[in-house]
Amino acid sequence: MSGAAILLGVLAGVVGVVIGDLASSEIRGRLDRIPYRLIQFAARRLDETSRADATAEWTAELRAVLRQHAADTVPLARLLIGTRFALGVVRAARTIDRDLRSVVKPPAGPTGTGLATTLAEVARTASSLRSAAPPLVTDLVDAELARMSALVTQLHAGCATYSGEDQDWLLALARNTRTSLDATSITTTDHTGLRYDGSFWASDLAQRYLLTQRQIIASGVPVRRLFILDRPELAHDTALARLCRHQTQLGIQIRLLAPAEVPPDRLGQLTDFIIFDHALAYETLGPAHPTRCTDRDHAISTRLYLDPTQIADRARLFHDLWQAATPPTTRQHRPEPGA
Amino acid sequence: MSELRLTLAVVQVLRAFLDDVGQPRYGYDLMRQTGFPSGKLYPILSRLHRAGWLVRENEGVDPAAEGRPARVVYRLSPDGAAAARGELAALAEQLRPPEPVRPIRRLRPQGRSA
Repeated sequence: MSGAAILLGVLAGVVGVVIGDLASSEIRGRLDRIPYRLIQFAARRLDETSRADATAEWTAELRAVLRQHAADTVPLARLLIGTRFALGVVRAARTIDRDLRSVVKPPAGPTGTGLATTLAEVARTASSLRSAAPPLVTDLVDAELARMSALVTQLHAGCATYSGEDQDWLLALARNTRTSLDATSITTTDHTGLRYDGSFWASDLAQRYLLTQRQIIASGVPVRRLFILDRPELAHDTALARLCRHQTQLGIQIRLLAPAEVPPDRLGQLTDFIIFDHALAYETLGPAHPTRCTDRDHAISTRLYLDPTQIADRARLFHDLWQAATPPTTRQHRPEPGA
Repeated sequence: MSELRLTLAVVQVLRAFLDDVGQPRYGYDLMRQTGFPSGKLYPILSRLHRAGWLVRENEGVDPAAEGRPARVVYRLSPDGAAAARGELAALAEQLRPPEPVRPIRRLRPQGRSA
């Protein structure tokens, strides 16, 4: 055998050993990941709220299990130990999920045993939390329960008031609207006093509000928005025109009401309000004397009206204003002043 | 704190906690102490936690410094410790074997009549 052939043979042997070693490392790495994958699979069996906590807990525990067996066990045995732990967790997740489902039942409707079960569950969980959580958390729970109780009591009396603007009310009402949503929106100008200030519509709340409206429109609920202009020149404002186009594309019916078009008998009644399903009116009140133009975007209080008289008053007001207003397309062909 | 259905397995876990009430426990330590596999232990811990008997919290370590993720520890809540002691005492009482039967002492010697 020549020297070259021997050299080639040695080289081939070395390459073979290296490839074998690499393949072995690759396989070992993949096998080590199996228990972690099983834990992720197990966590997916739980509801979303507890998934991340469970994954973190079981992953840390698996690491501890494997660490304890790292020094005295061959890799294959470690794989078996890890997999055994993880398969147990898969079984545990199924049992935990079944336990939770047997306890928490969805409400059957506005009245009846479903609601009673939910309230009983809230009381039970709150009581359980009280024994384990720090005072700050129990104070928060107490405050939220008191708020919920006050809301129900006030609605029962026909009108609920909130200091500021309650985003949860707005979004929950929009999401559950079944037949109609009619809204007024009084425009504000920016710091120059000349251009439309659309900062609210760029906020996170507005984005979620519009997304919800798009969803209810898709299910057949008509949504109307009436922009009440506080300055006549805003009828030709490019930012407002862009906003109207965007909302029109979402399926919202838009009209603009210039100051001169407001019926004289309605001049003192212009507010921001929304009528949901002709059954509930949501009204925000801004500062009486705003110090800045955008102050009116910040409600100082929000009211929910359930009283049929109050709702009928606002429904008639909306009808009158809507009739007096015009769609934006008929007026936005004019160039913006100064453009 | 809410009521809990006490099975023998739940009692065994509570017993492990009562060995040292103030001692926080890792899941794996409890597995070794009780001999339960993870599939049996974690549902019990979940029930005890939801019922308010156990407090569940992250151990206070810095994962970066330790080179591992922080683990979760469980310990008995004050109410849970009291309830566990009470339940175990009641169970022990129920499981206490009856007193051995003693022969009835005869009032009169055999073979005599009144």
